[in-house]
Amino acid sequence: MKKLVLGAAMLLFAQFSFGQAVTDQAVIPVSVTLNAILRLTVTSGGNIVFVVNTIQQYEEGIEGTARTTTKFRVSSSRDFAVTMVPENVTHFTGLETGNVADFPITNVGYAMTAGAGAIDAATIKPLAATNSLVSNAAIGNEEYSLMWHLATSDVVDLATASLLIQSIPADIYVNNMFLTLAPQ
Amino acid sequence: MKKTAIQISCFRVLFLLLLLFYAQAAISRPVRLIYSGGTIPLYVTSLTQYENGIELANWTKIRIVIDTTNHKLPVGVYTKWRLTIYAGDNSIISDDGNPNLSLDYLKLRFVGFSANPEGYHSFPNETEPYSLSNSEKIFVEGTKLDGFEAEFGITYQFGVTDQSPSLMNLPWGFYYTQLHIKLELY
Repeated sequence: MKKLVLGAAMLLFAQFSFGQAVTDQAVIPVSVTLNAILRLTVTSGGNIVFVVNTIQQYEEGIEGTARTTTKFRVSSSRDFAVTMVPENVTHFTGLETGNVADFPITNVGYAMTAGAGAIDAATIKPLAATNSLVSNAAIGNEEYSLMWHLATSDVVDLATASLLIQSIPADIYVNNMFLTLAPQ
Repeated sequence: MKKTAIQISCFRVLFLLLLLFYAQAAISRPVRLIYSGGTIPLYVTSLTQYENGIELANWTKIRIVIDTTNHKLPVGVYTKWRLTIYAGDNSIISDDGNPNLSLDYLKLRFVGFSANPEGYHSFPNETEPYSLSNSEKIFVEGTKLDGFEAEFGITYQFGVTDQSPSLMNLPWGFYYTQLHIKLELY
């Protein structure tokens, strides 16, 4: 019994000392959530059509115009890159005949004509299996222009590889282009 | 049998005394820090927020009470009080393996500071905005120990570009730290 009373008394004294604490404090958790912002939207030129119906067009190709320009917008909270990959990486496909051997993708050219971070801006290049279009810092709602050209002198060697020289069978040749936006 | 009954009575009395002492200690400490608001959740979900930052206005409410009257504190040891606000880590830590964020992204602004009585406190560091550090940094201090109260709110600004680096191009993910608020006599 004496031990018990002594123990209780010690507890009381300990508590008395504790009650005189001269500090008080709070600890508040801080949490930060950064969500991904990565958007690419094609705003116009989602379906580009070249109609070749004269010998001159077979010989010299068709220059790009506003009508053959794809426009897209990018919003990204990270530095980013836009790449373009054809669905069929070697040839366009003939809709009427299923021809997949006569219209190489290199007959089609493109040039980035507007937008921050456009790679080789205004330089016309033949389509490749993978095409790097943009490399830029994080940005909001930036508009890019991608102008298409068909078998012009900037795309093919007209002396050796014009559409006429290639003797491509008449058909409607199509291919899909995948635009990919990715953080760097 | 009678002895056992006496022992039980003693237990009850001691237990009640303990409860009384605990209750007394809880309500009459010489310094008290009362706060509300809980966790500080900073969600960046739109490009506008990445560009301009985000703000939690008047999110945490603080009330401090200092009253050493009727407390048997050592004579001459405590002459002032101070409230320190600081971060628990030296950066805002990534939970996803990304680089940690500098504390410079998070700024504090104080809303509606009111003191009773007036004229016994001062702000030794810049408070508009108040920058966080990992070491104890005094927000407000004073000399009146025998009855002083103050109330204020804290607004949190994260990535507000005129005060901190831009949030653009920060890796996505979850980051965390802790805010320590400490009131003490010294």
